[in-house]
Amino acid sequence: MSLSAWESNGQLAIVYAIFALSLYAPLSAGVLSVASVCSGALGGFLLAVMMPASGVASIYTLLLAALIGGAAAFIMSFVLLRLDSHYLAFATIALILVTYVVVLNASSVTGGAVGRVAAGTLGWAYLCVALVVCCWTFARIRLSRTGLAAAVVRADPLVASGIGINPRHIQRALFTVGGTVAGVAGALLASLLEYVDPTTFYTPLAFTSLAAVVLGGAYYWQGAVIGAFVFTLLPYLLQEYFSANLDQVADGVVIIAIVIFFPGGLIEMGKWIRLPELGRLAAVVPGRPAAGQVLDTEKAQPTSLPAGTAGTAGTARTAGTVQRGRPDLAQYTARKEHDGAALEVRSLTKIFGGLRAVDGLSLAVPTGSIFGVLGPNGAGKTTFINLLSGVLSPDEGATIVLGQETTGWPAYRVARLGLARTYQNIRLSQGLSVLETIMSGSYSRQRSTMAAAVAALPGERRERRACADEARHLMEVVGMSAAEDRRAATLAYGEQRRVEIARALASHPAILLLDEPTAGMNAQESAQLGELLRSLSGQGITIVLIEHNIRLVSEFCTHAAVMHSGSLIATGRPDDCLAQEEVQLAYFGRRSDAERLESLRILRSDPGD
Amino acid sequence: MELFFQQTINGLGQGAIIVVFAIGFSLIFSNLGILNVAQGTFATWGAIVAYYLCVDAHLPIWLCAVVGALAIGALGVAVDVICFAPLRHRSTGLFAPLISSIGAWIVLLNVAQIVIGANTNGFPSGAVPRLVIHVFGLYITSMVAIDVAVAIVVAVAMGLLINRTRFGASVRAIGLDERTIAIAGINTRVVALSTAFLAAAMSGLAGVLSGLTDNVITYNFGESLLIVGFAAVVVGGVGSLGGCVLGGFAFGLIQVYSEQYVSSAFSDAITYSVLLLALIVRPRGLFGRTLEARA
Repeated sequence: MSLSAWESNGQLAIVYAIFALSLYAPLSAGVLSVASVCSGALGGFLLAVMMPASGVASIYTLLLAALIGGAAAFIMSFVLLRLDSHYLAFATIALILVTYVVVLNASSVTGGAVGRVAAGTLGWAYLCVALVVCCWTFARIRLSRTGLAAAVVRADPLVASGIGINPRHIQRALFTVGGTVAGVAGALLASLLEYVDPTTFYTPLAFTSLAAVVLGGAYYWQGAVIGAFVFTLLPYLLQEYFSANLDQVADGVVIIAIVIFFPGGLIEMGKWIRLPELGRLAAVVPGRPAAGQVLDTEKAQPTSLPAGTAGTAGTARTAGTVQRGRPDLAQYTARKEHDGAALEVRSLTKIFGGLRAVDGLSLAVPTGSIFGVLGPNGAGKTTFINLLSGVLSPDEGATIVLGQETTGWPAYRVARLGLARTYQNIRLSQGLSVLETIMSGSYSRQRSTMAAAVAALPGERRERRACADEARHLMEVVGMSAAEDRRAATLAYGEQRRVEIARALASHPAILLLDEPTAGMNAQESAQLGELLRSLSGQGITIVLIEHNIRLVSEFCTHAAVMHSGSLIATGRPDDCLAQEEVQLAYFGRRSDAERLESLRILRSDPGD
Repeated sequence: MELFFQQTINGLGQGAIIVVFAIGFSLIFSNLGILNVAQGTFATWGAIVAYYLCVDAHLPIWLCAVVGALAIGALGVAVDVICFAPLRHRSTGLFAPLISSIGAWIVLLNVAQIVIGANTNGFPSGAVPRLVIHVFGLYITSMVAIDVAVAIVVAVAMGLLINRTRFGASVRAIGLDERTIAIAGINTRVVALSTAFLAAAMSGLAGVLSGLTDNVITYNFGESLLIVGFAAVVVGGVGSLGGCVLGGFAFGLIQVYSEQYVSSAFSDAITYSVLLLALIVRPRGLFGRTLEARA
């Protein structure tokens, strides 16, 4: 390829990189949208209108393009973000098609099918500066609390709302960022091509940008840039070796090969070449320990004890370890003093079709208790927790959290009152380290805006550092032994649970709702978790847990409630509840079955479970 | 008024082709979860294969159509094996298969351009029946009648296959939970490949019909079918055969009416706007099912 060809293709690659970034922005919050191409169209035609054939386009044109692109995205988000993920993607494709036709027919402004000329005076300087500014912006957002929140929203919006993040808000913010960046890219493209027509901002651009993002590595903004460069320059390289059309065929083959052999994107290759992780060249978090520094083994919780120390000995040891290293948790507890029950429900009812999942439930959870919710499968326990945390709205009755009536509140609002919740299926965000995952839990307590993060203001830096220190603190509290910069999603199951609890604690909850936290754990791990809960409760946090592990409940819970078919059948101390005939009936069926099991147990002299 | 009925008939003819294409597209989308943007090229290639069979091998036209559809079915299997099957057990979501399909689309589009060039080909005049039937003062060309007949036959046959046979049940099941049905003893690989075969064959058949009806075969004429077929599936409801049929005929009528009563430039705009509106107002389409997930 000749030098001038390299030059023009290089410039094109930069513009496509910025388009790819504009697509990456909503994607980082879980929104697959190509609507930024429409914002690009606005930016491009704006440039063409303002600078028809001559004249020097200035920074002001670019800023205006950014503004228009961002405003359009902001407005579109109100309609688009209501849609479910797949339908949203379709709708944005349809939006591009509609834009195409509008451009085609608004000939007075856009030149119709013929298009119009645009001034081509934005040179290398503008392109490079624009790219650097965009990369900087995305790098800063990634570090900020918005970036961490976006990663959580992407993994599971429900989990995000459970820690006080409003998913819609985050998605809208990043969607708007995407539109702003696309506006700039559109103006730059128009200037580069010196021409715009309806096909400039059409589906090929959308699919090319999407392919660039995915091929580069969909979880990293660096992937979008790398993917765009490879995707733009590759066809021209191939043109050197293949004749017309065959070079495109080769291009298609390369795309398929990359998707199949590098599903995580080209950025995966960094693992093989042992590059320092891109984006981590600067300290992610100020003040973090150098890589390789081992955590104090005294404070690290052993995940498996030597054989023969099962049972109470092991429990005592873990209890001792927790006691010794236990940091002061008082700072993490309830924000305001509050008399009366931490949680209360009155005549709570939820109906699904013909099923009364929760039927006229009334109970109160005392402050500072460890409250177990028991019941056979299908009793309505998870529905009850969903109603408490705001994931579902009750059909009748009321929920009262810390004295505040929260009936019908959205989940993130209830979470911000001081209620943190974990789920049965752990959904940890891809691409976040252990430390970052825990830090994401304190989103609702922080105040820095995205703009402050991008501008690298000292206030934001300070807040982030404090957040990181607290996250490290919490790692000790829950007894994590993994390194803080490990990918959270690669940890062992028990460790993942700890991370999840630490994340919940980072929001400084007054109440912790845990849905089957010991599912899949063995006796040792369950005992360790029980000890952790006890120490948290000692610091003033009210804990509600759904559990099937009867031993855990009777050993660690101070109160219990048993549900069956949507109603409450027992409440009070755990052992009292379990001794009740009705409860045993619910679990074991007919009374004679329970008796039969009991006699079998005695016969076999089973030490019991 | 007569014009309206005449255009209705034309619209139904056009819609019939969309119906056949939409059934194929929906099959692979709702059951294998793959948004396959290469389906349009399948239609193009169906017409190309049928064209060469007709012109070079001098086969009767109906045989060309059948063989063409089967050939594209085989192509669909090849594309699935190369582009989609390796990704199937990696749970990569919507992205990776989509990008893979973009790669396949680029390859197939450009090979078509190599083979057929920038020419516009048409079937030789003797090959296609070009009768005109007069009914109640309206003209029904034989191709319109054939298109509608084929669409009805295909829809009924696929409906029976998917809803009344054991094979059809496994096709529907693979869309819901592949791992579980594998445990139940169903050969998921065979089911997936069969689904890919059928989906591609349907698109190929739609391409053949389109080539016969309009007598225009270019290297990218299948792309317009892709967009409108996609719209038909979405508006009709993903996963619903009845939705495909209704959506296909509806969009055929919409296209023809807008060309007649508004302008041909705007008929595309109206199609896309209807799609956008439908997504905003009723995303799951006319007959689509909503899936509730347990929190």
